[in-house]
Amino acid sequence: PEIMVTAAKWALLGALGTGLMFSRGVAFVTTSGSSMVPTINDTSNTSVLLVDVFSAVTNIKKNDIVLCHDPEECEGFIVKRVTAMAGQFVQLDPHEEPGPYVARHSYEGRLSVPTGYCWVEGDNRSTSHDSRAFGPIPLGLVKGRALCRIFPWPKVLLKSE
Amino acid sequence: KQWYQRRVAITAGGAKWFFGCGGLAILFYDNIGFVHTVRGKSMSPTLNPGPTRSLLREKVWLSRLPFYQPTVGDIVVFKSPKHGSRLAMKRIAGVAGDTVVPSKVMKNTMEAVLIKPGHVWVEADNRHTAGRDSNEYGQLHNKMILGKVTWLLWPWSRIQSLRNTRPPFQQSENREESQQR
Repeated sequence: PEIMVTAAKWALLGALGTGLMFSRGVAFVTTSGSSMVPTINDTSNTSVLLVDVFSAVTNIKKNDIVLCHDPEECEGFIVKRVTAMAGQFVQLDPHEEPGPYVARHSYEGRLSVPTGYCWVEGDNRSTSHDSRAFGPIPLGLVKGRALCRIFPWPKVLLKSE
Repeated sequence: KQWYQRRVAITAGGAKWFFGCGGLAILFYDNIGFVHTVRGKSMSPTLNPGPTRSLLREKVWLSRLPFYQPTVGDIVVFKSPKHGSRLAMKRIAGVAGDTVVPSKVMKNTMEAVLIKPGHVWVEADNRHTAGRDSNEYGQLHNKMILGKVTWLLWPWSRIQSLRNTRPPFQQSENREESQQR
């Protein structure tokens, strides 16, 4: 019984500590899907990333890979790259079919990101469902930046300026 | 050797307390709630910022208990869609499934908007504030919401529960409740 109490205490402490770390510090994130091939995975295998949940929203920069709440679903997350920040123009590719949002909102071949939002795109443009379809996402939905990949092979994802 | 061991033990003990209390404070802040200061007139007359000195501003209790279900009439604090790092406070005027007509005062188009699952429509109580609610930035994703304002705490003369309050005007003509409920 005494051992059980101690074990329970340590388990609770461990759970709270891990929960705290994952929500406010650094988190392990498992991903699947092919929108970030080949940066994160090959052909929609699962991969494990280390995500920095600690830094403030103001630290998000262009070309960061970010973990965000899915803007189209109640729950769930997406992992994409920030390709334009608030106030910047989105690089539109004239050779590709414009996504639903781009088609409706681009004007004279240009599209700008409103304040408080960011534009995210997957590295694998042909299969990625991203801001070209659902528009820019508010910075409040960004949970953190991907620091590095752990599995299948370690790889640094965050590039410092 | 002994003085060294004692110093390490005291530092380790102090560090445990420091990080422990810090961790508990963060857990409390994220999962139970905190005191939030009212800034801006958008929720007048229900909530008023008062004079500019921080001590004199009205303060509310923001409840962050988990499993919050957005409900029409709730006053909520959420991350502002216009300024990523700031918090905003408005009242929920519509939830997922409802149809809302953006207010004539602020929005150009008069088309009804169907609120998507996982989103809400927030509006200011104070009709004279220009925009800064869903009439300007559209539907708000539930994950931007930090929690529900449950109590007005300061000034003491105005302490009251804010759980079931109504906006100071009739909102019902704007909103059609979802048929499924």
